[in-house]
Amino acid sequence: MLRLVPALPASDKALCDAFLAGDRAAFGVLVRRYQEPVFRVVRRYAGSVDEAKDLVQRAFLQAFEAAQRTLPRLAATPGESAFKAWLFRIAVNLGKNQARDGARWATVPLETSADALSRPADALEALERAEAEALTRLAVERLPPRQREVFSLRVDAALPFADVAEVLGISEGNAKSHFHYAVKRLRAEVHALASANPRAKERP
Amino acid sequence: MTMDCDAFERQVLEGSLTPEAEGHQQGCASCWAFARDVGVLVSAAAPALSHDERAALDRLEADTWRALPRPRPKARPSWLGYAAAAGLGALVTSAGFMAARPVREVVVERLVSLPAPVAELDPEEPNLVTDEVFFDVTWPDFSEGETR
Repeated sequence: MLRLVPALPASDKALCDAFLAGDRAAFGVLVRRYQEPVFRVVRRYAGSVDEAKDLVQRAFLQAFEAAQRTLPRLAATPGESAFKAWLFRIAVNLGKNQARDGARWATVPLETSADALSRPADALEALERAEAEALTRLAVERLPPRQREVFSLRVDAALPFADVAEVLGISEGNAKSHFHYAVKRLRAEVHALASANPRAKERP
Repeated sequence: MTMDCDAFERQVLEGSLTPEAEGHQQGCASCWAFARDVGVLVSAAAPALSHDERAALDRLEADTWRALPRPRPKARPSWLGYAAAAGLGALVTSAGFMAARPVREVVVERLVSLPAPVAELDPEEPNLVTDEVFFDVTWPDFSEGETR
């Protein structure tokens, strides 16, 4: 009996090989695959949605332009995550440059309270959630740079620690350690901020 | 081996709990609170994409393609191109043949024409030596050329 088996998504490595062989559509698949996690990471460095989108686009353009000389080297690297780590490294560096030039780390809540309140769901709960998110973002901004980078790559991009380490050029143990300290510090910071803000007292 | 709170926290931060860690969480109030706080922190720190962000992401791929350098179109050889190439090929081939052809020896004959011999002049010839005519040449007179 003939059974239709859904095709497995092509691996990054296969897509990189196809792109090097002249298939531009393969690069499009990589863009679709990583645009959202890259966006989630760089929005912390951007002051607006357009700025975040611009950063993601620049990251992909840089990757495209450097692909011919870099992808063959990455292809020789063992493991499947070489392209992903390389792309995130480009994005994080662009984000850091942007934050340095603009002397800011995103302070604008990317989902505003007004957005949350416009939903038909329980407005008070939405407001509390928005406040808790705002407090947490504020606490993330106060983290030391390295802890913030590790936290963002782990939480926003959901990268495994091995990939976080590769993106930042540190050891996996070091990445875990930074994340551990970041979470403990965030927890304490959010508790402190929440106790100063009685509306958000219920949140961590 | 019993699990302590530090080992439990490490597992929470790495994102997966062993059954042993889950058992520890049930009996340890501070670890239970830690796991709950981490879950809330992580979800609060990475909020869902807003409507504007989702719209920006929807445009991103198309905008990225527009910004990418266009591939240079491969030049299609036209008939004119083929003809020009064939002509050039023929020219090069014939030049090659010409260059490879053995060179014939060319004998150049030099023709020299000599003038007819001139008769010897005799210095004693009367016309040349004695039969001379002299004219007396002086300045013209002032009245010369007057019309009156």
